[in-house]
Amino acid sequence: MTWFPRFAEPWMLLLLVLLPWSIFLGLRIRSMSGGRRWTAVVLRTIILACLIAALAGMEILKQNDRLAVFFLLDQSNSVPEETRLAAVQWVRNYCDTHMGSRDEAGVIVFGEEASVELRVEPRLGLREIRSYVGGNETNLAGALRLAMAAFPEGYMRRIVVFSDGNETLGNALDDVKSARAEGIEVDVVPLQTGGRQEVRIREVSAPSQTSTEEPFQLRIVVQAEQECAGTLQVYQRAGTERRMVRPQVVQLQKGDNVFLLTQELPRAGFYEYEVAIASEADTFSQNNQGRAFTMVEGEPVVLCVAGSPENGERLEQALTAEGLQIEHADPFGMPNSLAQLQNYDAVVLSDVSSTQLSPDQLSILEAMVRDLGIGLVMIGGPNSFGAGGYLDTPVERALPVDMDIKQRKVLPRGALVVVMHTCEIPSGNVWARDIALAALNVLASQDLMGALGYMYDTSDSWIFQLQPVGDKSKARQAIVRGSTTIGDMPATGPTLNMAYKALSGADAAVKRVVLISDGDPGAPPSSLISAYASAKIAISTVCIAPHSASDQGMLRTVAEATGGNYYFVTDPQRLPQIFTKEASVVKKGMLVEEEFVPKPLHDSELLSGLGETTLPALLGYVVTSPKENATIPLISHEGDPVLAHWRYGLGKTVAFTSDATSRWAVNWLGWEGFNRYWAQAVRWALRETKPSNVLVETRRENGLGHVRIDAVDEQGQFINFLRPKGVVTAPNFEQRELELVQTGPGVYEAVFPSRDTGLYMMNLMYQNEDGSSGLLSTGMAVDYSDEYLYHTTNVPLLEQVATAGGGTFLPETGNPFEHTLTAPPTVTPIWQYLLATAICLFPLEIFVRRVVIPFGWAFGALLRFARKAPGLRQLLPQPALRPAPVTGRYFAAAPVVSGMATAAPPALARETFGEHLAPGTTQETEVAAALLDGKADALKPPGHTAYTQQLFAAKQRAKTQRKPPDEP
Amino acid sequence: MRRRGFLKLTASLFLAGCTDRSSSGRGAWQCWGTPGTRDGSFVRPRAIAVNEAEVFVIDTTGRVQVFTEDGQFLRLWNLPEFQNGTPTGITFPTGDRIVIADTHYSRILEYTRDARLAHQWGAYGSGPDQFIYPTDAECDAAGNYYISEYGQDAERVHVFTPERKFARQWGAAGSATGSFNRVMALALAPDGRLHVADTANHRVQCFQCDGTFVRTIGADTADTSMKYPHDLALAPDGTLLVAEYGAHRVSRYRSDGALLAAYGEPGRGPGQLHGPRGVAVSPAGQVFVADTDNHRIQSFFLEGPA
Repeated sequence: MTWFPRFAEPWMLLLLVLLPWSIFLGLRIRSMSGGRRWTAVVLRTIILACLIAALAGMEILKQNDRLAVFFLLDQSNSVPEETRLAAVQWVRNYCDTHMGSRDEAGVIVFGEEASVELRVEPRLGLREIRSYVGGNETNLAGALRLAMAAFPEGYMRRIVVFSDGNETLGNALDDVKSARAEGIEVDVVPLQTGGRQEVRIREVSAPSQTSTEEPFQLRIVVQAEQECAGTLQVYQRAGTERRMVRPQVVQLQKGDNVFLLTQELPRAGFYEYEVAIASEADTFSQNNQGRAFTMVEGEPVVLCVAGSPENGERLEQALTAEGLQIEHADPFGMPNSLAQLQNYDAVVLSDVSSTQLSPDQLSILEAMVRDLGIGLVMIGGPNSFGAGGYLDTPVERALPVDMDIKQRKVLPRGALVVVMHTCEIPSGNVWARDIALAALNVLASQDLMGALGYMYDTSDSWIFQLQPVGDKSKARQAIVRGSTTIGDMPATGPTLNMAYKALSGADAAVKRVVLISDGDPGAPPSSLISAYASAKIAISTVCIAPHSASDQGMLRTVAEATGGNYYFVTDPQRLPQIFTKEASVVKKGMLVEEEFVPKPLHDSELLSGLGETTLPALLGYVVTSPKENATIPLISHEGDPVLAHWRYGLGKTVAFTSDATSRWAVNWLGWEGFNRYWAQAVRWALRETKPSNVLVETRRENGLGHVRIDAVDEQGQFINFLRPKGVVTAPNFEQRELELVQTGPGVYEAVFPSRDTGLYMMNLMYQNEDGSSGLLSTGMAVDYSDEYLYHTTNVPLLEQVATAGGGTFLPETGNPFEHTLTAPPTVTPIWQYLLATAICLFPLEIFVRRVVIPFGWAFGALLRFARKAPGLRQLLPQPALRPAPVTGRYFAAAPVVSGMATAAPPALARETFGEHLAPGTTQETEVAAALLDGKADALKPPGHTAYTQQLFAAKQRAKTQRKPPDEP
Repeated sequence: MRRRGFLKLTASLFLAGCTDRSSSGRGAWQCWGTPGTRDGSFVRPRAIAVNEAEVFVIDTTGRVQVFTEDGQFLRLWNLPEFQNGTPTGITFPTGDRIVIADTHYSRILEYTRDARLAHQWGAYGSGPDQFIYPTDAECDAAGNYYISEYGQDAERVHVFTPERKFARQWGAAGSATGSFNRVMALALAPDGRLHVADTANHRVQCFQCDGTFVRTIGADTADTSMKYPHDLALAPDGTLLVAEYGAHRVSRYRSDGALLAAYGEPGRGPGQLHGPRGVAVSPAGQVFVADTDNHRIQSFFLEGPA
């Protein structure tokens, strides 16, 4: 470890020129004895130096000679397990052989994520890898960033990467450059892969568009690492139907094997082909499937999804009678990909609750309207709109009405308590925060909410006491702060008891408790559960990550006994949705169940030909608020929207807040306009498509998706200057604009990043020279991560990493602990200490200058006392005990004491005080007497007492000397 | 300074007047282990036991680590599975055996001292010889096994013969005497009395070996109350040590239920505990605490017999 100083503002050191001047001034002060003057000068110089150094921002730099090494071990699936184990052994060998007393080492493992397996410490202690990081991806960049952040400060730093270099996430080179810029060296140990048996589907393709009864070829490319046999299976999916085309036993050669299947589709729609290969000679199953899509033009198809069978029955009859082609599904069977929804032109949801749909399905419904132009019609019921938990969902964004109903004056208030035991799932307390906030979002300002948990410091306690949520800011703060310290709840009894006490005293129409747990805390006492049941307070329970199946039992029993709902959740992503739904339950005030005749508000083509006065009465609806740009053809007796519609993105949506069943619409079921009313609403929402004569093709290369349009007119002429553009919807439903550039006659191309696994849906629009426009839809599937595409070590990338990181390929005999690096100095600013020193010394310096301590007198007195003491006198050597001259140079002359026996007093006084004494005066006699009495130090020389007098006397003398010679 | 000293004195007198539990053992605590998976490091150590001058610790990574009584790492072995959760109890019957209640896999594991799995028995279920969550095991001089269990309505103590055949059981879910809410630990005294940590009822119940109720410890008065007792250990002088998960301390009770002392306070420093889930004591009176949420082991010596 070496130390050296540094100045942040070195120009301030110019002030050091003041030091000699200060010393010079200090030494000129003649009114102090030499010792005092020197002390004062030294102190003042130190003070000044400290102040100047502080002003210059003095820092101390420490240069460490210790080395920290992070070993980054690739745990992705592209590295064979035996190679991974060998890497662990390799690391242990390095440490055993080369790690010295000034070295420290740690291990980071990476796959989909990166995790610190062992922190940097003086001893490695690596036995086996215990962190789970997922093997479906290689995120080397993430591991490098983690290593940079986890290095201890002030060490020489080296990273040793053990990887096959088949990176699938991030860009490691960028991060290596950042590491290098920080002085970190990156060495690489390439891990050998390959040699494994492997069969994979490399490509599946079909024409993007075709027409009925026109044969086309499905092209399948299977890649094999060796000669082997396999079974090729091809499935065809249209909407919710899936059928096997045919299984086929095939003989695979080493390399690419191309299979062409001729297909003919009799019906219109969007078709998806799924291809799978199975073989004995295979290592990974993840890369054994592929998909392709084709669109067959035809009549529009509507998908009806009903929350319960009776909700859809009458509606489907009406739409079929009006000539629409209908398919129906229950909520769980609803398509869960955009590709499957491409088969339809509109989707009708009839009293479907948001919790019957997955979060992905909610996102798909929005994306389908926005990006693909497919229409959405939501029909009400007790489980729809706000009462169905659609507040703040993607579907709400697409609909023409808001679930938030703040504008209404009187609504019964609800009370909700959430009890959270989430610490047993990964990021459990983050989930606790998110679910409590999701529930909070649903509640209106007058509603009551509270949150309970087992806190590390206060055991079973309120995170947020039950109270009106108001503007929610206080509740939000309490939840965010409190959720960080939720611990492992031993029993549910105490918290449920606190919730019961608070709720039973609360003024609310609907009260509810939601308990989330892994189910292993102790059960609540049965008396408490009976109290809940008799007070009609339901406890809904959510079981997540139970240790065993029995854990569900307690939670299910509690829910059943109190009339609550029980949920078993495997994917935490569903939690906010459940809490939203449960919070919505306390908002039953959103349902208005009174008879009313819908009143017309805006003119709309949806009601054309139906006659305004002929609408029968409805018996209820769900309260919503109209959105600003929505058209509201019908309102209720209280002015709430009954029918609303608008355009959203490329598509259109319709909301009908009453229902189409006997619950609220019994008068409508027998009305002659029923069929026409619903047919008009659904037809208005249908996708606007036109047959086009251009072909779209997609493919994927190096992590990028390519889309290409070939535009040829009916005469076979290229169509130029189309300027097509559109959007691509990624698997996470994020949108990206696509601008296709013309690259040849009638050819337009664009690329987009396609790193994520899943489905990329493209919707492209173009405009012909004659002003007519066209719409094209196609998709591209990324069926498996690139992790399963590579089969050899990516040496070029690893070389680039080593070069950019200033390191090398480290051989097995290499030494990763060589001290060839420079540690970044650690800087400690010390100006504050300098300032403190100056402040402390300043009074001392004043003290030295201003206060005269009579050391000499005190010492003299002591000496006299000692001499008088019997026996002691003999012991004291007389000359040595003579007191030294004490308080100034005026007393410096030794004869003051040594000559006291012989010198005549006046002569002594004159010798001592020189010219200050007038000869032969009484002053001279008094001084001499005092000197003889040993009180010399108490005397002030004449003139010393009055410095001005002294100056005045000197002036007088000078005047006398300078008398002009010509004066008389 | 004088004023500060006076204030300190007043505050201590005031605090001492508020509680009968004075924290003892401060300053004499020994502490070992850092968070992590290195040898000698822990991730939430849950089960602890001491036998023949060796301390056995199981943490949530499924490792059984063995230390000397002054914290020197000796060896380790891995449990067969640990993803569902880890054992909460270890015991040493006579002979060369280590019995582990593998809580989250509904079974009992018996190892030899050289870490060889000798027996594995018990199955998931609520039948008389099945377990939901077996939390702790004790063996008497005759070789009978006492196994505590909790789970869905299965709050009970099982007794098995030395041949591992089901003999009898007692206990039910509830808060009445003889009922349990989350039984987490057992401690068998040499005189045959069995102490049962009735965690969520905040008490320890004491039984004869045949299940006859003797007394309750910890629930009599506010002064002697405990908060979520998670583990028990019997000191050589017969006093009972209780690791209180909810109160972040180890309390010492006389066999008649009188509270003698409490060791530790909430926090992260030496002598401070954070959610302790295990306690063990050596014949010399050295107490070892699994300071679970601080990822370490702490130990101290008892001050002397009661």
